[in-house]
Amino acid sequence: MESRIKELQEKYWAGETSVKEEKELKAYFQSNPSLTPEGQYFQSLNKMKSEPKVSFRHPKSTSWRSKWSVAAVITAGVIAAALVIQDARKQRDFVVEDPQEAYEITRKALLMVSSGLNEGKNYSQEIKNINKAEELIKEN
Amino acid sequence: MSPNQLFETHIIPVSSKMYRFALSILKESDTAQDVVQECLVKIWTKRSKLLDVQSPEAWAMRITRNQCYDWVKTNRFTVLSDKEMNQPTNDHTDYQTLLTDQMNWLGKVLDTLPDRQREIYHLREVEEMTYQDIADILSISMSEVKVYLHRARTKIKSSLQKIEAYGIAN
Repeated sequence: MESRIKELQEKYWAGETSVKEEKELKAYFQSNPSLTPEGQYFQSLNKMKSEPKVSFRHPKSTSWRSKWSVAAVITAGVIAAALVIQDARKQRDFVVEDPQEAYEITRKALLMVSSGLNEGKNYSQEIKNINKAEELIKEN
Repeated sequence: MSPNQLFETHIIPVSSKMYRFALSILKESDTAQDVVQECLVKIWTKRSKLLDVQSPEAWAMRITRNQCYDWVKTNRFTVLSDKEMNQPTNDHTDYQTLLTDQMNWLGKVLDTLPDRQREIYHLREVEEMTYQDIADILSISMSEVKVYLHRARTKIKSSLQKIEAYGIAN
């Protein structure tokens, strides 16, 4: 057995071993721990292959998660749109349908506008008077 | 076999290999884990291609390699630390200590190898892949794979001989 391993080792360093032979070499040193640097080298190759302590999410679940987030965004959009429509309908409730009432409201609004205009007119008249007074002072 | 079945039978079982390969390039376990997760998502979205791929394992490893180098490029990553690769274990026997020393030594020797030699060495020695699969992953010829591997082994052998002769690695 040892001569076979020695032969395999020589082939290994010469780059002539197959994957199967390399596995055989590693398996031998795994079950026959060696204190020589070369023996430990083959054993450390086994250790490098040890299973990592990591796990991965299945992409299927990841894609489902992204689908759910898209669905959540769409739902939020639909709810927001419904609220906006409802709000618009509420504003439409303020429309006055009774002609008499509409007339009264319009009259009040026009009165308010005209009183504002009159006030502005008086104010501009005052400014005109001041300007006139200033001109008279300058002439004298 | 459907693409979904191919994914379950040919890709999921090699995710550990993909992770070890990513870790050998990136040297950071968290980053390697993220990169492999991205690779799995990428392969899943392209799973219909599994029907045409000759070696799904080599294909997955090639995607992993590309994703790693994309990450390196994007993050201007410098591969320096070998802490992650050679974390001390809690084994207390003398033999285990010896083996841990050996692992540390091997990690240091591998770090001195050019990237291509190190990748090929990992794919062959750790993942036990055939020359043909390695050539497919790296898009080079089989004879080039053999040459690079031989150079890597020669360097390791010479370092081992120094240990044997003088008890030192360098």
